[in-house]
Amino acid sequence: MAEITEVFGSGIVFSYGDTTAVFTAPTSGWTATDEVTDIKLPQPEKDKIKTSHMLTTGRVHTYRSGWTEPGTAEVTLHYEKTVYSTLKALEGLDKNFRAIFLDGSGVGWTGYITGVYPETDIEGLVTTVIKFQVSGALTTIAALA
Amino acid sequence: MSYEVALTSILRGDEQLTALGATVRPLTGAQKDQRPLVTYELSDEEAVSQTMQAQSATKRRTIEIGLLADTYAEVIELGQNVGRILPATVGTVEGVIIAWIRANGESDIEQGVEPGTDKPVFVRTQSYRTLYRAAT
Repeated sequence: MAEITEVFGSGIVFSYGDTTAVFTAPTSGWTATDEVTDIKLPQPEKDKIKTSHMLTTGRVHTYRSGWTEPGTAEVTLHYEKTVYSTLKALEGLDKNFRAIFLDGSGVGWTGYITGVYPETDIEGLVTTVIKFQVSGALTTIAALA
Repeated sequence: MSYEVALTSILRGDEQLTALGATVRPLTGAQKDQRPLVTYELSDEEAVSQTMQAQSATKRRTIEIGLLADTYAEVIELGQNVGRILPATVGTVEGVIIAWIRANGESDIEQGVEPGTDKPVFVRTQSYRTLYRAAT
């Protein structure tokens, strides 16, 4: 098998914008957040609909794909009081969000922030945690324009 | 910003340690250095909570303190003073913002001999961990 070019897990740029922001636009319409330490991207999952019945061959259950639950996301960044206040004010508002990887591809989604809160660590730093609910299908970003 | 400069300033700035006549030196000091002697060595620097774009400005580091004195009691007293001074240090010192310095272990006291003499020298090491960053 041909070797792939691996993409490092660091250097991911997380941004948010209005629901009119174009996912492939390089910067226009997007606000990037600084000092992100961790991103948990949405993990969409399709429901399963059981289709097996009394006469199903081999008495092995069969399924069809059902609705997709688009999932949730979480971003953690170093706490800064002004950034925290700005993000806190976005709670509940429909927005576009995206994470762009080092190779220029990424993932985008529409949804809303379900919560913004600080987390403390006596051994380290105060961080801001942002939690999201995804609404609708994820957008696969092949490359920025 | 130099943690070494800050650490030296912290130790040399303590009146009780100074009253003991302690000399503060990096690494192991020199052979003819006056005792009691407090030496320091910094190692294991690591960036705390690395961000996606860059290393975090906040760092952790290990401080190894060496305590050398002519008597058993003196080494104990040196150790107690350093153990009092370092964990109490919080704030900005010589351009370094220190979040905490935490004691991380202490060796037994060992007895050696000053090279070229029969004079006993008593030695103990202490280890500390510190969280800090440069003042902007």
